[in-house]
Amino acid sequence: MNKFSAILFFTILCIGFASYFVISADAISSEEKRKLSTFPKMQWQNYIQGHLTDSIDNYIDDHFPLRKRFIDMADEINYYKGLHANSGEKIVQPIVPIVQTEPDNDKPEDIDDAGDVDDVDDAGDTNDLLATDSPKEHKTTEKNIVYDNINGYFQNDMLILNGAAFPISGGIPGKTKPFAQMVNDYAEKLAGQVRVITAVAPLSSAFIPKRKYRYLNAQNQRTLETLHRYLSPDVCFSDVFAHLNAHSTEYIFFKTDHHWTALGAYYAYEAFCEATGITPVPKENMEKRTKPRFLGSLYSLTHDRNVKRNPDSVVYYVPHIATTASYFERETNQEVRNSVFCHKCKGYDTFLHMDYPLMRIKTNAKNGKKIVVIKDSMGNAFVVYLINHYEELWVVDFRYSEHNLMNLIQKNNINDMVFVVGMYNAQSRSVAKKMKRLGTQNFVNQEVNDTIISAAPIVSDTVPAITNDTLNNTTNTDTVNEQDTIK
Amino acid sequence: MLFSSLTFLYAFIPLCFGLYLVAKRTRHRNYILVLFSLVFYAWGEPMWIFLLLFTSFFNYGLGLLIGRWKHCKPVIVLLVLAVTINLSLLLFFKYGGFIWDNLDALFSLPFARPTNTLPIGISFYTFQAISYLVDIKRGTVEPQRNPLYFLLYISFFPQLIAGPIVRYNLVAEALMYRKVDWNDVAAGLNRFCFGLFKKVLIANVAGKFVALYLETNFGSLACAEAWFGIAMFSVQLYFDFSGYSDMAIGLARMFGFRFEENFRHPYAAISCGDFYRRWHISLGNFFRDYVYIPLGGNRRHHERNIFIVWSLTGIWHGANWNFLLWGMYFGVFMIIEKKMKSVLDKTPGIVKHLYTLFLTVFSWSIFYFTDFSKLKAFVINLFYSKSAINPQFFPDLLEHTFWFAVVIILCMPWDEFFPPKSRVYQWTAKGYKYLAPVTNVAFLCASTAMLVGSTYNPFIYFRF
Repeated sequence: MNKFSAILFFTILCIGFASYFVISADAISSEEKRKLSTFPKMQWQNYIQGHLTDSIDNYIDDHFPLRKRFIDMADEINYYKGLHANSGEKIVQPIVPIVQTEPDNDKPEDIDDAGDVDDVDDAGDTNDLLATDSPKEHKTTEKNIVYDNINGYFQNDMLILNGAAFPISGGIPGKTKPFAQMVNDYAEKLAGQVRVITAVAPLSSAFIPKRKYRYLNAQNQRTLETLHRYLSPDVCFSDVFAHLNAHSTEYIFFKTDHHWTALGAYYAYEAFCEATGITPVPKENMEKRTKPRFLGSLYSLTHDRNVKRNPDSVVYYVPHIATTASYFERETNQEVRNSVFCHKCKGYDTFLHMDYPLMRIKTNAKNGKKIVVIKDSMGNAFVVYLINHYEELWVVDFRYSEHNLMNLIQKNNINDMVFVVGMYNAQSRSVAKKMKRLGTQNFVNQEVNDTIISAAPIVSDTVPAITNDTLNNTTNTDTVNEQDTIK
Repeated sequence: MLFSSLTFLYAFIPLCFGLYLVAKRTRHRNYILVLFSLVFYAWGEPMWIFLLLFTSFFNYGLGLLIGRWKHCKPVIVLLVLAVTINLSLLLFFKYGGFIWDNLDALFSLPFARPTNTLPIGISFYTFQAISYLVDIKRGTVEPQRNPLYFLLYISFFPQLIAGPIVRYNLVAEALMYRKVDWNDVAAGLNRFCFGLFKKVLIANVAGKFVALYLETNFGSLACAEAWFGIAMFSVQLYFDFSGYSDMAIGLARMFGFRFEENFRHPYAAISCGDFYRRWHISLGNFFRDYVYIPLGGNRRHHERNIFIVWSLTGIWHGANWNFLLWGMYFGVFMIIEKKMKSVLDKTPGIVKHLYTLFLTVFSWSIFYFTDFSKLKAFVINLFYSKSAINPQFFPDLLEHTFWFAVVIILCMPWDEFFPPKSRVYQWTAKGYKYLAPVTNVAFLCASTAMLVGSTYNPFIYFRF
């Protein structure tokens, strides 16, 4: 028996060891949204500094055979450590994620002033009603700051209610001032030439279906109303909150992700239409499509069993209008064809594929109207409705774009400019600064910048021939040739 | 390298043990173990391995010299010199920064603060070397003639980085000749898996609570939460340390070495003296044999000796005043216990047990906080707080109900309730023999899952 026991055990260890050599490991983890570590270079210098062995350990950790299964198993073990109250409601602390900046885009000088860092950090300021909600402090160092509204989510506890995850925060009204100021500056600079519009999304916490959390609804509203007050009369304010609130019982936010659904974005679009005086296209006039089983960022941050059991489905509406879209590669700024919708992507990537620094969409609306959209990921689901109303749309992701916004506006005769961001970004001073810098910054390669922005319309209604080179350069080769023309 | 790392479990052990099985002669096996021990150490300490090698060969040479002249009186000078050099290295590398800080505060020193990192395991292997030399002088062991065998004694990976402190007489014979059979291997494995379980599934989980309740702003903690936090640190410390010792003892057994027990249910102690005999036994024995008894033991200056030994035990744990304070705290209570022996003898066991548990758990707050202002704030928080209990506290406890039950069961001295001769013990042993393959694999899988699970790091950024 003893011999059997020992041999069995070592066989398992040996199988584990042997599988390092056999199993081809993934380079990225789609659930964690990160690159897995790579095998280090075998250099003496590396070893002396202690990096080599650490990197090998990390490599083994990241590429362990059946890693996903083991992670799920760990969740199960954690679950069975005790009993669970059956109320379907609990507060969890998000798994603290790795915070990293994009290596190519967020230059250190872009992330300046320690003061900036505080902004995103103290989403639970002392003035905030929710200050006590966060027992754990997360120190985000200067280098770590990222302009994504997911930032706010891991600083406070999260509520899990019947399998849906919500942040427990309603924003800090006073903190929207820098953002408003920045928008006002743009409005002033572009007065008479470009209409400036805002469409800021509330947090899903505003619509938690439980009386106990109604105060978060009021607080979301207060934050956005304060933003409205700070905005100058020249700025068109879309009352996104009111429109979403009127449909608060509908499926307007994902349960497992921090984004709004296509439906939520549609109501925001209605608010936009109301503010700008255009008639929204009824969603019945668009083609409805559905994708099942989507587990988003809030699941990744909580790994909660109940959330896992309640996956979202992505329902989206494709407008009946022909479009051609392209994005500009981050480093080379090369223009690559893609499409507005990614029908093959999973989850929220359905809208615009992903966050590109700059994207251009041309439609056959033929009304001469052009808009530039300054957005974070919230904007992705929103932009897709605007193609009904504009002939040309420039979609700028403020976090990554290094193009000069003023150049873009001047050279393309833009009529409208809209800021579509989530609430966390609208209350961050660093975000406001970064957006302000869009107006003055120069692309690393000014020549390329000029070429791109002043280029004659490359995109026409007919899809140009795509070379193999271009295909190789895209990340979404499967959809690159697709044209969203649905009649 | 850590025992509880995937690299160790799924690369180091299969390679090392596989080769060990292939080699049949003790000499070859020793060479394999030396090689792997050095790799094990060098994995985490690229530079300090030279210090380890120096300590080994230096003490090997001195061992031979002391062995040759052990009957001559003047050899004592050599021994004192050797011990001084060993202790100086320890003092310099472990306490250099601490001593400098304190001297600088008094005299503002003209030279810079030593900036070295602590060489892993130096506290353990220095003590092993000292015990070896003293034992040769005392004539209880013969010096080792083969330098590589001696290197193996000092650097043997199971005990290298977290003890126990193995005395040379325990392994002297096994170094020269040992037989490994499957019973040993299986027994070692069972022990190893149990240790791994304690480390990964108990200590690491307790560690999360510790981070939550002790690494926080104390004003916001209710008294109950503060007590819970320090109780969780008690659990973490014990299971971490004893889990490591279990793994060391188990691994050594697999390779044919028998180590002594290092922990014997310390939280079942009924007095501070009892606690000392149950906690980190190999260190206690070292101080007993090389400090306490030479100073006069319980015959001369008993109280002074207790105080010195406890102070040394305290400062051994780390280069900071709080560790010294922790040691002195126990020293004082042991002296009090000695004075009040007649009262204690009449006290019921359960009261003594609760009294010791209270003192021990409280003492870990001194051990935990290296910063005295934090310690003060925390101790105040233990007894006085205006904060209400966080609503998340009780659901958190509820979610760990079974885990708490396991922790309490594992802290109980079952082998004292049911001694080896009892029927219950024998039945359990018999049953466990058949159950072991299952529990071992279960422990391994669960630990692997938890270790892999801890590498789950969602990335905040949405793009790569």
